Amino acid sequence: MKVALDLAARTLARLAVLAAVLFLLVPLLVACLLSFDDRSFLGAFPPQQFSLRWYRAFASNPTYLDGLLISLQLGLVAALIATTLGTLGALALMDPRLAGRDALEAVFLSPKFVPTVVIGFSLLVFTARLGIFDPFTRLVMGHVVITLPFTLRAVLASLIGVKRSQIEAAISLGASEARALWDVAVPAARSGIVAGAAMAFVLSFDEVAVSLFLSDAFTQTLPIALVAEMRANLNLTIAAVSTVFLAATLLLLLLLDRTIGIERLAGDVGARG
Amino acid sequence: MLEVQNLTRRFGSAFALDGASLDAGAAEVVALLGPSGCGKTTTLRIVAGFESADSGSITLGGRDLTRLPPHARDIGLVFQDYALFPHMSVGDNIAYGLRRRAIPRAQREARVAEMLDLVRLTGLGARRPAQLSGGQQQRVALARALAINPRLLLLDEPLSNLDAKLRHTLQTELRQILSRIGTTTLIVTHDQEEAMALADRIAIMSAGRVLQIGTPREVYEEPACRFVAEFLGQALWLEGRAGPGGFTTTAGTQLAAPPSRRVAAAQGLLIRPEALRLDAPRPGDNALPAQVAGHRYRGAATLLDLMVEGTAPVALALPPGSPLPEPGASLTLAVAPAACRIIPVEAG
Repeated sequence: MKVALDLAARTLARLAVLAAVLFLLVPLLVACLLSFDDRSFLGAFPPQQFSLRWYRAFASNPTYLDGLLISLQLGLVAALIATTLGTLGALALMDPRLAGRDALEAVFLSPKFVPTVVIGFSLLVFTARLGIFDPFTRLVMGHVVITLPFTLRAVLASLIGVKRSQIEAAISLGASEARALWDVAVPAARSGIVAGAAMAFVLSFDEVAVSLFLSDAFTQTLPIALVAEMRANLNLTIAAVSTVFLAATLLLLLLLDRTIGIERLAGDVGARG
Repeated sequence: MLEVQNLTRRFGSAFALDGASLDAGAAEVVALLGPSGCGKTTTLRIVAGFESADSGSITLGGRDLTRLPPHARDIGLVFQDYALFPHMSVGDNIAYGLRRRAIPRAQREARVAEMLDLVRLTGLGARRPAQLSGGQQQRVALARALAINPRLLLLDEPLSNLDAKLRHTLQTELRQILSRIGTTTLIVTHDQEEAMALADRIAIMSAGRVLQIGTPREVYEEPACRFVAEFLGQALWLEGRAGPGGFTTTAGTQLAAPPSRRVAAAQGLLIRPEALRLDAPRPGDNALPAQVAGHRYRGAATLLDLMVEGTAPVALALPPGSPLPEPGASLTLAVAPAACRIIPVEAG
């Protein structure tokens, strides 16, 4: 009886895992397949004939191409700023003499828990008050806010192995505090800095909600262009763009896995300890 | 050379340092010895510049250090955990302070080689710290601190992270290195054996104050107070009153003892257990009634635990083969009057 129950439980658990995997992967595969559909309309699945027509449509659509360019620029600039700020913040949080460290860390990490819609709206109001109307500047600000917790977290995690005594040793040997951090903490944080920068880029690249508030008709990120296009005329260009998107993200993750390890990346980003 | 005067440091309402003073002469090795929480580490960190004192002063070679930032103090510091830079080679670790001083490369390399020779790690400059044993890492930390030719060397519990056997070897070696380089050195330790083995003078700390500073012989044989007497080695401490020619314990035993060298309101009698004898008293000896609490086999000796007038047991080391009195037996110990010392209860 007990054995039968165990078996049933185990089978059920396996089925659940299988279902979850299917649920995650099948839509991606469907989109991927559809992007190669030769038909000019959204027809029954699976497609009968394959072609690259939707990819050609993507490549010749200025809205998407502009969006791609904006997204790439935005991702790079936001990742650069968020990584710099995150690294400096993590180094500051490392100092045991800093009063209210936990509170400060919580403030730094808070954008992770605030709904992105709220962040988007608040920044819209805030930048308007500051007199900042340039959409790219606004987008950079928004993306820095949402990616900063990830870069900070990644650098903090990589600094765990650095002991205060090592910093003090460098200082006693004649280094200023800043110099000691640069010579001792920064080399240790290198993997965290790279992981944080990559994560910031990926997050920025597929961010929608904040961008929705901060972009305008002439400055759209790729995801915003996708959403707009989908509303205007639904066709399979979206599938092609999505596939390119997916491939680019996978490629970046693969690259990161090769250089610093995916567990580290997932751990740095997923864990809020 | 080094003068530390009246340091006080308060954390909240508790005094970490309560007027601690000490000094060290040129090329002298001074150990700061005390139980954990006595303020010795705080003193070291204030001298290094990583903590500040609420009041008091530190001068080194006549120069006031009190307001100088830690990186400008020219003090070599060896941390308890060595604090080596893991991403740098041993050679680069040792060269770090020289780089910060913009010493030209050729000179730097020569100095690194010289330091490696000094700590007997010749040829290991290209290794990473992680590839070295604990004892070797400790020596790299020492070489790194000495490479800058510091005006003062600070060692924080230098041997506490090593196993007992290695600790002994390194103690001897460290002593040789220290006497060869002739740098004024302050060692913080809770290990009295380490302090005795390494230091020219020992400063005993308790509750944020230095109770006594003196040569190992002075602090062991002429302790300034009960705390120092009991902190160093084993002590049989008897309470009572000092009188002309001797001491009367609270139990009424009369013991001949030389007069106290220190004036104090309350005094006690200190006898080191190695002065206690089981054989028949010689003329002039004091006789001290005692009870056997038990014995413990220790290979080279057997420790006989003795209780005198209800004190905590003190251990008397007997050579192998000595007849062992039964636990519970009463006996009379002989002790020469010169080995009985009248000591103030509190430091003056």
